[in-house]
Amino acid sequence: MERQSALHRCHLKAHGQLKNFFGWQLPAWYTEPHAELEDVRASVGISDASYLTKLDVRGPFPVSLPARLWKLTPARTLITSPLPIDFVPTSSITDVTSIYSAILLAGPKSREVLHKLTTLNVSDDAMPEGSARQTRLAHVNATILRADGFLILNTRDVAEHVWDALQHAGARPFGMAAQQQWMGFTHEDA
Amino acid sequence: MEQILFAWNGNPVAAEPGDTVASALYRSGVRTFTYSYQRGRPRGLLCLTGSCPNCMVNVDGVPNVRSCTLPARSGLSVLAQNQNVYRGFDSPAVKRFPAAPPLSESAHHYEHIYLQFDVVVIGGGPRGLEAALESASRGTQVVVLEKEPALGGSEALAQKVLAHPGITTFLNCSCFGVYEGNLLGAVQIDYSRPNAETLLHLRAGNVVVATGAYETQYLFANNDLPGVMLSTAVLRLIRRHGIVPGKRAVLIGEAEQSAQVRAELESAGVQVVGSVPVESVVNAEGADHVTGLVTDTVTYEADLVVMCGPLVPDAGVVASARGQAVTLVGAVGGEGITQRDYLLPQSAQSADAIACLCMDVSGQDVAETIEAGMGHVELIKRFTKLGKSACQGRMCQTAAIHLCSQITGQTIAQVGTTVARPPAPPVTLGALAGMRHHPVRRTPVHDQHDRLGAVWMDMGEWKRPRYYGKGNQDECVEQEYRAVRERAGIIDVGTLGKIEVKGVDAGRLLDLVFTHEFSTLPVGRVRYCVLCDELGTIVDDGTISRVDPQRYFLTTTTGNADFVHQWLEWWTAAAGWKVTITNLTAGLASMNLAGPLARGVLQQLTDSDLSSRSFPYMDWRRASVAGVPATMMRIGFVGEMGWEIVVAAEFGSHLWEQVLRAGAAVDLRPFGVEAQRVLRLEKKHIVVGVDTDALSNPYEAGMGWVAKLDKTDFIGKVALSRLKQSPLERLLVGFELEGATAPPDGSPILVEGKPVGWATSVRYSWQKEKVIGMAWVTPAEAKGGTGITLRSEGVDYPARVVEEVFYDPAGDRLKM
Repeated sequence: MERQSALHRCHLKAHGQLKNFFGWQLPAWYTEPHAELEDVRASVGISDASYLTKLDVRGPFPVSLPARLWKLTPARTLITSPLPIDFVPTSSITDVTSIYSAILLAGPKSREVLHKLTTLNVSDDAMPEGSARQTRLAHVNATILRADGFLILNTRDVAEHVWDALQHAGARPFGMAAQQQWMGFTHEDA
Repeated sequence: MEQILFAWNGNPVAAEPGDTVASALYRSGVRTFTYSYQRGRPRGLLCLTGSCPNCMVNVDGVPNVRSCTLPARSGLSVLAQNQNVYRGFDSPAVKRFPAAPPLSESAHHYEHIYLQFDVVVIGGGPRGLEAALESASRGTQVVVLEKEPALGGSEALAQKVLAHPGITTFLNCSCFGVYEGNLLGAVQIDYSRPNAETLLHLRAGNVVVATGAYETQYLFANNDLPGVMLSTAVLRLIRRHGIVPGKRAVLIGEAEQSAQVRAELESAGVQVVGSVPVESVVNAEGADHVTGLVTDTVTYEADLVVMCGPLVPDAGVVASARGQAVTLVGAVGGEGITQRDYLLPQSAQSADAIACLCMDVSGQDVAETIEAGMGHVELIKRFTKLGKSACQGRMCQTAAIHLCSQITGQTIAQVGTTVARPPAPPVTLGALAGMRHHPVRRTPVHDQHDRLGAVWMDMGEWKRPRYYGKGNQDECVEQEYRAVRERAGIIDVGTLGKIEVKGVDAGRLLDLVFTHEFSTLPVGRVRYCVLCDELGTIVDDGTISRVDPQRYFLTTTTGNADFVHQWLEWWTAAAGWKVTITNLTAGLASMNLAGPLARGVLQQLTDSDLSSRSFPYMDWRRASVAGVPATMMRIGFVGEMGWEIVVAAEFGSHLWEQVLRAGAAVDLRPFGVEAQRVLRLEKKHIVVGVDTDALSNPYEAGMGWVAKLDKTDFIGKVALSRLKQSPLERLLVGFELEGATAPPDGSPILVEGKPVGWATSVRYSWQKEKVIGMAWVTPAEAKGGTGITLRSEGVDYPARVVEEVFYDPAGDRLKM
């Protein structure tokens, strides 16, 4: 059974060409993949990255995981990976993939969009590549990760609201084809 | 170039390039721009720098827009305002201008942006720009806020600032306050389109204030007549707009001050007939416009009276900083301002000497206020409203202070000033409100409800289907109700809080926080749970399932999910226990399938044996449902056999579709919150927050059985032990109405005409074919059969108390 992201309704409304990516039904593109990528490179765009596996780890964590680690608090780490993570659930590791939507905000004008929605200082000095911040964005809680742009995590219930707010602030959606180009990797359809 | 044409009170007015609305109107011969708010006195241009209230107009439906800062643009609809303020039928103002349209939802673009800079410079005049360049040369990130459409200073200086990579410039941008932690509020207005404003939230390392100074008016009789203007206004009309401001002018002020103005007026072709000191002025003459100036020796005939007023540092935002360190540069710090005595002529205390233009407070009003014993500037401000409006004291404060000093004999220093508070310049409510990012929370099944024609209701930020269908609400709800009682129905309960509690101390935590015991709950069982606070008040209810020996799954009410989560975290931290709590609410889809035929529907989707022998009431289990991993709870809020099915959010839509498909043969219906409210009311299942309030305890609510006082300890135990011994003050009871019409929830309950309580829920029960409900009453009325009366809008609804549960009191249907 293919998974549907919290933004499924938005993708349908925007005529996204839905395909299977990592077991999720996601839009390969909305208009045309090359144009979408050019748009992001020139300006700013948003793309659904909800397929990311996310683990919430309290306390020490298994360092051998092939994934990115984000220090949320001294005692709390978020682990993300585009691929499923093989782990033994314990009382200190929780799979939160389903809880959080993930939106990649990318492009040279990303900050102009964020400036309209969050009080967070998103300058390079205050938030270098690899840093994570918990903040408010468009009046809801958000975790923002600095990776390939800004990766915005929200609980699924407000994902559509955030997606709409980001668009209102000037970001245009782009599909998985452009996203994978942007991130510099491609993936065979599962 | 295309001609600029806008409408003034419905008549076309042409503007030249570079005109503001005010300058274009002045050029076209308009002299009266508005009528004063209180007394309806005609007012014309005074300052032309955005410092006074005299040129405020209604633009495209937005009131109080300063026409002197608004660039003229084709298509604007400009109306004079204050014409429809009630001030008696004989007021000339009532008749002169057409009525302004009511405020409408006109097109608007209000935005907020949040920025951080090392240095914020308020004011883009020469001294501000020098300070900006100086800071930026040290590698800091600087922002300059300038309220005018262009930077001041020399052209070369402005170009240097604009070209500097370390300096960001905001034009048409007024800073309205400096708040704690060097947070600055500023509004940037985009004049190219209507109602387009951006509110800037600026965090600054350092704040440099370079706001300069403004010219203020003199106080004498009829000083507010159109044609009496400040020198800044006159010079701007000449220099910026090439307008000859009048024919014959008289200047007020000291000779050295007025010399420059006199020269410029004369070179523009204005005949200057006199230059008089302030103290000699008696009054300005004229009805709607100045026709002359009377001094104690001479009467001048003139159509223009120019006040060369004193300069006052523009320190409004400095005062708003309330002691936070800000750097003052230029005139705001007193630099270049010659200290002169502010002189008051004899007529300063007349009823026609207007000190406060915004609120029409005269010199006489101030004098009488002082005479009445309020000889302090703060008291004068509070009593007369002087200085409390749009110009924020710019035109009145100097005059009021000096008048107060003169009358009371105090020095200027002793009189002091009033406390300045932000916003220094006025800010529109639209700018403060910003974009409409009202959060909306949606369940994973939202789209399915939309397709089924859900009529939505708001529950906090959540959207929930109230009922489905286009028909009459009662009919739709009845069909949904009957489906559940007679066949099967399904409701999305994804908004309910869902919390996972795991770890070695999970059971201990739940024993502490909830009134029941959960450490002894067998794995695979579900139990109703109530959370009380330290006072024994019911705060929330829900279910707790034991998933594994050290793992529990909690459900909470929709509104309290975050609270319960935080409450659990707090007590975990307080006790130092090893528990991991995760709020899974958004990550799970959950739906309740209920009705006598529910088993047959669900059995089509799972291999798991759903018979009561294998899966009894209040059991929990994992299973594959519709091909996806799920958990199921056999619970029954609506009073029928039913299962709450929980799957990962990303499969929610799929599961909902599959259940509807499997139920099609038995005419299964989706049901909304309204049908659920009736179904549960028939079972007397309470809704926390609807049937209970912030003071309800379990004993009053008829749920004393939830308080396990034999448990070692739990939150609220002490209070509940005491409450159990005390006589009850009120009770939650059921009732049924004699008539068939239901008064609204919340209707008061009367006995012999006296109020004894109120009804919490009132609904028509198709089962009882009567209106039923729950109500708080005093213990005397709680016995079954007691007659009570509901009252709503003057109509009485006779009812009687019913002790037993309205539907299936033994609960047999839950266990079928």
